Amino acid sequence: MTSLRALSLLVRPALLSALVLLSSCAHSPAASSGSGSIPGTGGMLPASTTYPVPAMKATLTRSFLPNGLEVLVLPRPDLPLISFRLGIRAGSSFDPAGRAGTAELVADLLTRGTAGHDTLSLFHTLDSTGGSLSASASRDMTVLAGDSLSEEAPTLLELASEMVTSPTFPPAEFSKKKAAVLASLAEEDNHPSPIASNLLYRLVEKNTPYATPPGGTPESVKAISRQDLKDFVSRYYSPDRSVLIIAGDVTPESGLALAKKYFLTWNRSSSPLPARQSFQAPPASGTFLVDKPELRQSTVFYATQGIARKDPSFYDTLVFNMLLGASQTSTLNRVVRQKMGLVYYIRSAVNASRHRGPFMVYFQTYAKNTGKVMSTMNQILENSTKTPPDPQAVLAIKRQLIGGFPFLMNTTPKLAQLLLVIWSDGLDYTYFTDYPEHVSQVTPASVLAAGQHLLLNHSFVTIVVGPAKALKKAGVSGSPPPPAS
Amino acid sequence: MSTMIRIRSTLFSLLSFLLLALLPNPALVMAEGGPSSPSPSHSAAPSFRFVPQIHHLKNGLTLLTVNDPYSPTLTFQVWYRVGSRNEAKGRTGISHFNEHMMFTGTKKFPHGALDRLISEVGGQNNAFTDYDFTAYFENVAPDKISLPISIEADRMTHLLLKPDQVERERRIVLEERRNDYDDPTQKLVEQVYATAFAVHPYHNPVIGWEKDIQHTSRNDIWRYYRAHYMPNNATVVVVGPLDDATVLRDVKKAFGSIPRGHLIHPRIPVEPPQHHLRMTVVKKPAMLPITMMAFHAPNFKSRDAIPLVVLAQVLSGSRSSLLYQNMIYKNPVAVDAEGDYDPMTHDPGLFYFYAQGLPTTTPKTLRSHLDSVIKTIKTTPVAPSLLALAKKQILTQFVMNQESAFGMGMMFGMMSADRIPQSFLTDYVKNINAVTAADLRRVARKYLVSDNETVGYLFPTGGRVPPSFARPGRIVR
Repeated sequence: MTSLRALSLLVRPALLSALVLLSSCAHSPAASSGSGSIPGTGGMLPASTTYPVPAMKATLTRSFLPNGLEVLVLPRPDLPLISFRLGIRAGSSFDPAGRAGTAELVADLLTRGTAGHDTLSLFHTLDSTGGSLSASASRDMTVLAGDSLSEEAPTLLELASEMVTSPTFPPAEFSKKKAAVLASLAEEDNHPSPIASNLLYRLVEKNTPYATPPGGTPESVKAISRQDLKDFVSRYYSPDRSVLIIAGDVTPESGLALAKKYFLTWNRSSSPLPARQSFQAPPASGTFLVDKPELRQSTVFYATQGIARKDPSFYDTLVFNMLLGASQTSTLNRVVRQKMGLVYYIRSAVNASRHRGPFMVYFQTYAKNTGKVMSTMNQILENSTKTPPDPQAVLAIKRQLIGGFPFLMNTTPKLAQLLLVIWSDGLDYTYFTDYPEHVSQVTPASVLAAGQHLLLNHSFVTIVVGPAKALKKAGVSGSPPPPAS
Repeated sequence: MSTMIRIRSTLFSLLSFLLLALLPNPALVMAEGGPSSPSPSHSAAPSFRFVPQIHHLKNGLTLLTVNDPYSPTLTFQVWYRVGSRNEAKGRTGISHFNEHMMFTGTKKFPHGALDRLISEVGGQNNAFTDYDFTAYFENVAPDKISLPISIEADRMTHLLLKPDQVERERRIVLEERRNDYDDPTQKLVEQVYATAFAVHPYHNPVIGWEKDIQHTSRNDIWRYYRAHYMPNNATVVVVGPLDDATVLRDVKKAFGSIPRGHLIHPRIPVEPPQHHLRMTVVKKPAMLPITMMAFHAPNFKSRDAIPLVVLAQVLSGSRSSLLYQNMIYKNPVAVDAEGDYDPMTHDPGLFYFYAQGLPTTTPKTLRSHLDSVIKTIKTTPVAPSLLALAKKQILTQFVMNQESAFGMGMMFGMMSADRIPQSFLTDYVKNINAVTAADLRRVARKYLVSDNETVGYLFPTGGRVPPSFARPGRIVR
């Protein structure tokens, strides 16, 4: 369910680790071990460039098709499997005003019909491969993800090509899917973590393209028409806004041949792109309480504006975040869980991607303990900006980051996903070799400076979802959340 | 720590397929020091990279290694054959409680040291408890294997169990239970299992009943730890780039001196046959109705297990599956509809159906649709194309699961914990391929009958808590 997916992005340490590890590419120098022209500028086929991936004893090859599609091929031929990811810069942050949820609804309906396949035929062709092909949208991009035995990859790539070049959005499927999305949203809107998370983005990212939830709201989804979906595809689904990543049982030549065979005829969009809102949000503050009398626990999010992946301070910020609340040995976990025993989890996160996202601390606890946990959290945050962290602790986190690096890429689907995020966030493909050097440059002083930059002179929003009566006894109160504009 | 996903069935599939290819020789187990390395001989099977080596130490510890030279990481896992299935009345949840305590320190590795040491080498560590087993793991760089060996050998026998740490961990476990069971769907699942199993310990949630967690004493945990944590009740599984002889040498050095324990096997009550339909109802604030229908079903020991695995895939393994087509796509009444079955349980478990309805639907309507699908399976042969598709999906998953060293470790650990007989495994792929539409109809008629059924309804009471389904078990520290 969408609500659970949203929650998992917040609570899975593995993903948090991936987030902060990826962030470490901030200062990567311009990549290139070969030469090539910028796609779409000269009309000639650019030369391929290669990048080593030492952890996997592999080499990444980067090419461009004449239509501007970037192609990344990473051979890992130990099993007869191929994973591919087609990423398109067409995430929910591109949703038309008042039509939040468009990108996700488009993605949901890509598997419901193309010019070459009606819905049932598409289901059958896809399922007959024994593999999987799915489409989804996040804030920054839409992704088609295929995983299968090597022999079935051409079938899935052909289907993926049809989906992005000739989706039909059959009217009956549109109606059914819309009803299902509305049911999911009704459910999500009443779940503590999605409530808190959606409210957080609405307040902290106010007036930016990140403010609305990727799935939209019941009101915005009701307003979406089939024509909106067609317009969205026509405008944003374009090869020069996209990347095709093929990893696994391929060679650089065979991977590129597959890309050419199925995507060479994908034409660039000629629709003009509308201007986007700024990613600069106004300061937000206050404590907001959503009453859920049937719950015994409260869910708390404490957030402010963070930074982007490419922010110059990000490298130090990620170590600061690991020390604070994004690792097993973090101060928040050590004090609030391991010493006080008040929570099952308490974590911090820097949700930085292509653009600046929020920084947050979040936890669940027995409602009566909420005030105590919030007070301890505030004290820990305050202390973290006063003095440099213990050099040994910084060293340990640096070792953890470097030592844990291979876990981001130890399967072919993970490798493909990692490349997709590198592409989406505009990082360099020298990532695989630059990483240890960047981590090693972090110092206690730079960590302190990053923490101060992140926390001082910022206003914070506190969102509490839980039983108001018990919370009041615990000394926790707040205003009702403001209505969505 | 990370959230576990339901992986048992797919792991099982991969495991059995691997063993089919790799272990054609029934003489799998070797004496201490002499590894077995059966060579692939099944020409029909895809080529596999892994050759498991199994050793038995003199103190009863089993060591299983798999050399995966392609993996950049290594997993070290210890599996104890004890879980909530082994718990006494009034002390449910003690397996999971003890699992938490395993991280609270020994003299050699005080509280917090494990996490710190593993983190410093960039590793991952965690543990999980299930009905039949409790497992601990460290995923590290291959050259760091000495650290998990040292940690696991030490905490097999030297846990301190300090009273203040027991009380603190009790609070954390209670928070963990509230995390899970404030959710009305989890409450429904808990009630369905408690209703379906009258006497067998699968009646109890793995995390335990709240009152039992509150009343479990430090002495209870100490006795439990001493009774079950011993080399002759454990299997060490290591997967990654490794040299079997070196791992064997190092494991023997660390674990070899731990004395064999006296393992007691108290009688586990056998669940008597069910003779009438059972019902349970949850009325809680929720947004969507849910119906769960659970039928007692055999485990891997039965010849019906394989057809039931295929049946579950035919029901909900893809967009072409029967439940998706009938309840979500063609005649939408549900946002989710699934059928699931896990053959890898120590004792017979459940084949269950689950449907989460659209807002306009009722639990009874969902049941009616599920009944209709069940009736169809019993009366109409499954289309050959759907059957073939389901089998291909299972086989594809076999290969995909080979990519992860951790996943491989999970498979072999589970295999050891549930003592899966080789005859079952070596015949697995052949038997999957041999399943016919008539087999599916036969097992449906045999097990999916109302006298063998427990129905659970979640009636939303207009409040605002949404359901979210997750199978019980496999809870994580």
